[in-house]
Amino acid sequence: MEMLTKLEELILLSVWKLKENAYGTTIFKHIQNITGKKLSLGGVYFPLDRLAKKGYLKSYIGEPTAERRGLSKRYYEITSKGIEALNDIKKINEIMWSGYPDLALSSSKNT
Amino acid sequence: MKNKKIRPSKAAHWLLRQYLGQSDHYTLIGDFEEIYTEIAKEKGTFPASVWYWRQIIRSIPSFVSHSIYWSIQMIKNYLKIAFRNIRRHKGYSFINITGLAIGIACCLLITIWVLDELSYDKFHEKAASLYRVEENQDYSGRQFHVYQTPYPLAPALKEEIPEIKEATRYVYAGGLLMRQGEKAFFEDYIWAVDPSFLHMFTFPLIRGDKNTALDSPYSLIITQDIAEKYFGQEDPLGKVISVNNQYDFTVTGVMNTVPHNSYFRFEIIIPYEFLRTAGQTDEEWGSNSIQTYVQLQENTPAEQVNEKISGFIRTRLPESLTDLVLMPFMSLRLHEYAGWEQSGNAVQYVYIFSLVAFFVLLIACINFMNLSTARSTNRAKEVGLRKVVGALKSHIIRQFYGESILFALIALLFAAAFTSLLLPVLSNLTEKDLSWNVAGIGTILAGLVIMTLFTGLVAGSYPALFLSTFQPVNIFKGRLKSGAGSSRFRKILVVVQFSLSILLIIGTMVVAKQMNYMRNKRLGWDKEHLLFIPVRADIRNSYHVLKTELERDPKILGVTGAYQLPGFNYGNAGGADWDGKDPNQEVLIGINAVDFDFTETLKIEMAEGRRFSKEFTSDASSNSFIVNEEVAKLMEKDSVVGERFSFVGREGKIVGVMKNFHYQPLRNKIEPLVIHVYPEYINYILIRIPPENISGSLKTIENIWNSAIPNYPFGYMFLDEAFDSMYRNEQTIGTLLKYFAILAVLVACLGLFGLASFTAEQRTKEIGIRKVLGANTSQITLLLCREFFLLVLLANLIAWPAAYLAMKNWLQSYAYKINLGLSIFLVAMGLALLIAIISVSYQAIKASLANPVNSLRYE
Repeated sequence: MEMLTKLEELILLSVWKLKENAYGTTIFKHIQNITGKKLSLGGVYFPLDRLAKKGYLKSYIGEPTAERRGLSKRYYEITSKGIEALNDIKKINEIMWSGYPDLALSSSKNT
Repeated sequence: MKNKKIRPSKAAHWLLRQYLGQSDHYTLIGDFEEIYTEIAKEKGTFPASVWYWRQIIRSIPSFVSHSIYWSIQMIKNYLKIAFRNIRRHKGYSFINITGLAIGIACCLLITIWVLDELSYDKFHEKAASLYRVEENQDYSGRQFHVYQTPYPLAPALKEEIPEIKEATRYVYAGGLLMRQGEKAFFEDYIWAVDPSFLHMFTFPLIRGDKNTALDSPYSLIITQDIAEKYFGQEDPLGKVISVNNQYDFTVTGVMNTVPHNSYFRFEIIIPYEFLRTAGQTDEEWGSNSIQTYVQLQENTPAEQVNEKISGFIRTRLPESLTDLVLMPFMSLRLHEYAGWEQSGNAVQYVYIFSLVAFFVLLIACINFMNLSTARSTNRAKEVGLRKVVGALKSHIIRQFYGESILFALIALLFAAAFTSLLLPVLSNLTEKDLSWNVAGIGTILAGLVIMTLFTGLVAGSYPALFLSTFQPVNIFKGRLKSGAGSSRFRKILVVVQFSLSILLIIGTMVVAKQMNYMRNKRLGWDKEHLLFIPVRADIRNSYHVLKTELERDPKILGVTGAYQLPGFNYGNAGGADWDGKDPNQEVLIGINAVDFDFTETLKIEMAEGRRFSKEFTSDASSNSFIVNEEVAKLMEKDSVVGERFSFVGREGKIVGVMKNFHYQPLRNKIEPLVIHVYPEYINYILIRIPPENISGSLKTIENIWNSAIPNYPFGYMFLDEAFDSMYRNEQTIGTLLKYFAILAVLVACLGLFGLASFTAEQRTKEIGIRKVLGANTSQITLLLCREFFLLVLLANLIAWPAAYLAMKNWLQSYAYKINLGLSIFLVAMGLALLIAIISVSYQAIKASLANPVNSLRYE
């Protein structure tokens, strides 16, 4: 299995979460809100593009809307291969994290 | 209206589009603008613009890495295909890459050599304003050019011509015995100069002060090599070296060893003042024995000064017919000349080799294109398949260009490696210290890279632009034929490269033949088994003792002395007079001062009269002359023996006429020559020994030397070696030309071989059908060879006139030269045909032996 980068993983999850409303801006905002990190918009597009080329996502062009000066949106949708990849990642994460005590909060507060 | 206001700036918008360049960029821009509008509504347009711009700038890294990522993916694919191609067609690839690599390497090597020649004396900071003062002497309308000038010229010019800022004399003072403690050597590379020398030329002192280093007449400036030779690791400054067992000199300066690209070659500098106090100079304005260099004031044109100094000698000697002229110092290396005409100077070799470099590169490039186009026809099916699975025309164009440029670049890398490997060899051959580090190499390298890319581009153009247009349907149906146009183009390329090769072959042969001719021509005297010893320091005082002792030994066949060595006899003088001479006729006659037994020891034949003899007092008092046949011709008399003759301040008679002999290298014509006995002037002792038991004879001479002249080490050289070394330049050129011609021919052969195999492959079916219909092997071989045979013949016709003109021009600088007979051209033609046939016949025979069943099986 091909390993995905953390950003790719986050994007894949965002697309899944956002369902029908997954396009550049929403994905960008979603990740920014959750991680609290300042991202660059461009930094989101290319992983998206790559994921689409690798077959984890598929994209389609939405209807042109007036609020965007008639510029249409490119929506993304997760493919079955993408779901599979997410399942794999989840499995790996669970195995990797299993047995790790949930001390992170208390220990960080103590120091 | 409001809507319009909250749109981001046009510049940012434009920039974003530049990044994206994708077909659906508008969706991206839409996304960007959506957030922009949001922020603008919340906080105003300014923070929104800030955000927009920051987004654009922060996105740059990911945009860049993204585009690189995908181009690397494509390049990876192209590279893979290219290397598969190299592997699948090992023969073609090898020929193609090696051919181009050899061509580029040749070109690089020659270029480095040429650039080195051009770099001479550029290292002097004031090089552009430095000139040598030279003389044009007029002899009844004929100009004789010399670069020696009178002793007092330099200070007088500096004194009287305001445009001349500095002037120095440059006087050979070599052949001094230097002694420091136990160490004693003869030093030959010693020159005497005026103190301004160190200011005019850039030879910085590592130790010592250049303002005072030449103040005392007994000061020495030595190079580092000499310093190490005498003082080892000690500081030489202030140390004393004894010269000729007579003077004590103090080391006042140490300089770096003179760079190899310097016209001046010295190891030791002494003050001119020393020569003057030692009485070795004169104040004559009529003689010329030293070189004079001047530095002009800044921005003074040489023509302006030339006008002023032209008649300068006549301000001192009103009757003089000598004009002075300035020669730019930087041009001495390549344009120096002396004698009746300006020819044969070194610059011609720079031209010749630049041309050779260009030719070889051209041949290699032609070859590369030729083979690439030939080979690409075989890849039509690949193109078809690529198109069927969805490749666009632009993909195929990119792939073929990329591949061909890749090939060219690989060749360039190999060429750089070859060049590095061969540089030491070339350095050795040319006796230079050649390296990549030569002025102007950057431009040349850049030029070569461009040339290589261009070659790759042109070579790739045919498959890229032609094959990519094919309809896959036609390719697979086999409807594709390589057009008549491209095959004619290829034939022209073959003719061009063979013409160039033949030109080089002829050039090499002519140079070699001329060399051979010069080395074997009868000189009119016998240079074999003749050794010479330079008379240095006060050896002259013991010369007579030595001669008497040597003559007593039966092993020694002859002993004599001379002012100038035969073969190197360049001295001449005007002012000769005889009865019946036209008083308006100015003649310049060669002169040599010799000892008795000169003509006997050298085995010069007499045409008339007698040789010098001790029985005649007029012989010993330098008043008898022996002349050569040219002088006799000049005097226009039936017999000149017994005629009154006055020359070089001597009044006497001609006692004999020597047959003409070559007293200079064969480049020069035999001119009038006069010799007279003047033992006080001899610079060389000449000793003839028998051809057998040379080492025994040498031992004998050494023993006699050591007892007669115990103070000085015995050192000798053979005259034939010294004489032949005068052709070393030609010899080097000949060798270089030979190697480059071989390489050029090799490259052309590789090309022909590749082309022949391609043709044979293309005609497999035709050959099959011919064989089925009854043609035999030899007929088919002939069929395949004939085409190339005709091309090479045509190439000969083109190369011959060019070679004839070029070589005739080159030979012009030799007074004695070979005839450019038809034979050389025929041999070159034979050679070219032979090479062509060998290259082609392997493929031709292979094709003709093939079983027609194999080639026709699928029809």
